[in-house]
Amino acid sequence: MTTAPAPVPGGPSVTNGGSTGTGVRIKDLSKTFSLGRRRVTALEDTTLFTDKGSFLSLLGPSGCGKSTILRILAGLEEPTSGTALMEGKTPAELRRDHELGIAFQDSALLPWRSVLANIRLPFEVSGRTPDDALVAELISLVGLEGFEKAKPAQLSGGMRQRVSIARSLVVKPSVLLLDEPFGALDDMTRQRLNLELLRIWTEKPATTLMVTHGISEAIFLSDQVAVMSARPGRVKEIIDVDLPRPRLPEMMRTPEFHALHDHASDLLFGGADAPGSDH
Amino acid sequence: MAQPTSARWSSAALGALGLLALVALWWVLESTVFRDKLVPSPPEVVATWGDDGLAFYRNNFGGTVEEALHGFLWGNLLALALASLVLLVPQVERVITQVAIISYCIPLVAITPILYVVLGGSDGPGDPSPTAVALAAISCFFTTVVGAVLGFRSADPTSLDLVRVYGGGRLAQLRRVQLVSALPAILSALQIAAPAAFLGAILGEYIGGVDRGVGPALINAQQNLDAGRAWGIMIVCGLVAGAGYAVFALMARVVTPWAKGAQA
Repeated sequence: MTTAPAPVPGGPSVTNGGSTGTGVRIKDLSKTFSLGRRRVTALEDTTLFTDKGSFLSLLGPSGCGKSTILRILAGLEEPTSGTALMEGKTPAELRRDHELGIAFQDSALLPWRSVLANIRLPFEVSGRTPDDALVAELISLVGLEGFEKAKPAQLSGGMRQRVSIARSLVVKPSVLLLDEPFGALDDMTRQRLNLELLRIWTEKPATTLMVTHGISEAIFLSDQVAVMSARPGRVKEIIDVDLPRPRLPEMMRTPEFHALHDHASDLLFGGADAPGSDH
Repeated sequence: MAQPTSARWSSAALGALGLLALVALWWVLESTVFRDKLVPSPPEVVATWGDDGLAFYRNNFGGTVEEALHGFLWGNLLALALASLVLLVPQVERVITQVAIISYCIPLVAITPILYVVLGGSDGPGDPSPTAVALAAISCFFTTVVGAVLGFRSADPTSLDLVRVYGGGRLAQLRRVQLVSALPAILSALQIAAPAAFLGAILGEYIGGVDRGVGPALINAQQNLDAGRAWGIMIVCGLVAGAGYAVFALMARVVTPWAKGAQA
């Protein structure tokens, strides 16, 4: 922490955790939607800096604008004001250079395509020759050998998300966007896939931004967790997760982990005694 | 196709049983309630089929089926073209849906005289009647417009986002996602359109100035109080319309196997 402006807890403008923004560099980002005559502020003056290759999670209740940030970074929404860069590039530049990987809560697999053909889709869309060796490697990385020819309808929800993760990595992205990738799965599958995601992310490192409403998974996976609040959406505080890597499941039982977990809960629920009720 | 053989057999057996029950019911009613009426029994109808012969049916159904096919082609082409226009210029959706609804709401028998005045009858014996073709086209227009518009809209928005993130434009979205997503809805619309086109063609022939076809044959049977023949033609009509339906049901199974869950 050298010349960077000091973080202001709870303040709307500067919360950069001391990073110079070589990874995520979001500055004064705002997004207002018009619903008929009403204008709704989804995101207000958000600033977020992270380092290249780090894992950032956006944690917060629905309506806090976390998905809006992700959609702006993916180039699916235009910000009303402010700038959003990742690894120094605008969303349009990232898309042009095919450096963007994305996975959504809904696996968004095309039902008429096999696992293999779904993972190849990004190549076809961007008009490049598929790298079959990489596709095969990714299929084995997500543990789906033998299912290459299966159609999505024949797979479980967890397996479909594995395909979706493999597809997000097939363009060898330097930037990875994950929108609640395991949010629709049951708790056990979700925990198992989080461990796998961690393993995969270690093997294929990328500057990552994940949107989630799971406190444990945010802390377990991330280098920074941006805790957000709703109406209007803004970053309350950025928690630096100083747990060592590689992260092991046992760490979730340490006092350090619990302290971080409690802190995030306090921020989310204002120290009230009814955590987990706001969904 | 993917069903186990035993399930296929049992469903075929159930279908045959239903048909048999229907014929039995017809026979019972014919010999009880409609005893004094002019209702033929199943064996009588089979006998008229034998008397009329294959040539009679080929002569009369050939032209009508041809009209139905032409009408089916034009009606659906126009419907698909307009639905594609909605896909490309969403603002026109209201106008096009309105046109489709109007075409559906006006009774076909009310349009037929107008069409006949404009288009006229067939040029020579056995030639298709333009009026019948137009009526067949109108009959399948509405369902296909609605089916195709819904189909194009059924594309998963997340999949469309995905294509955009990987650098695909509107064309890639259309080609990779929307057109294929629309296939099940379009095929099931065509499935309904096939019998509708046949019905439209017959209706057109009632006024449409043809001297050979299912329409004239039915009028003839009616005027001669030839109940056996009327029933015989009616049943063959059902078989032809059902065959049209079955062709597209089969096509949907082969072309869009992933949509089977939605159809079951």
